[in-house]
Amino acid sequence: PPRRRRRERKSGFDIAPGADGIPMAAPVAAAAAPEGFSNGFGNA
Amino acid sequence: CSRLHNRPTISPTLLLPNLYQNPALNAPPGPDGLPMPVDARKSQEHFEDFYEDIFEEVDKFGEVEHLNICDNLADHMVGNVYIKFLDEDAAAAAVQGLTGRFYNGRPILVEFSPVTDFREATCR
Repeated sequence: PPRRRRRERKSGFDIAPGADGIPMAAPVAAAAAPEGFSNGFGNA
Repeated sequence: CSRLHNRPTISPTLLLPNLYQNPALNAPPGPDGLPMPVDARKSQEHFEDFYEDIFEEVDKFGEVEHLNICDNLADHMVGNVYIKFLDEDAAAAAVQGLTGRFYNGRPILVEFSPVTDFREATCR
């Protein structure tokens, strides 16, 4: 099938928390990981 | 599955965990307290817009062989984005280029993934 035409819109990339009315993102889990425990994203 | 997945130090495949926000997950609750149903066409458009954004961005780092976005609601892989490049150098460039950035207000996490064949990418 033919590729649909791209809609005129801004990409979501590089929209920081709080910009354009976007609520602040929840803190990344890494910040809350207790010392000595993996947070699941590779940070001990 | 123990979910203790091995994390390679280099791979042609990247994982961007939990980046896609399925509209069904963010639907406001209705009078019965359950999430309001999401229009199927709008949901599809939302997914396609996200897919387009991701593809156009990661294609800058090298040729993309596969781009898989999980729009199911399984807890452990909800919103996961898997990008397989033709070569590891492109994947490494993408890690550098995406780290520390945001998508629609959410921080982009990026890691190498051991998945190289998506037909076989199931936990056992």
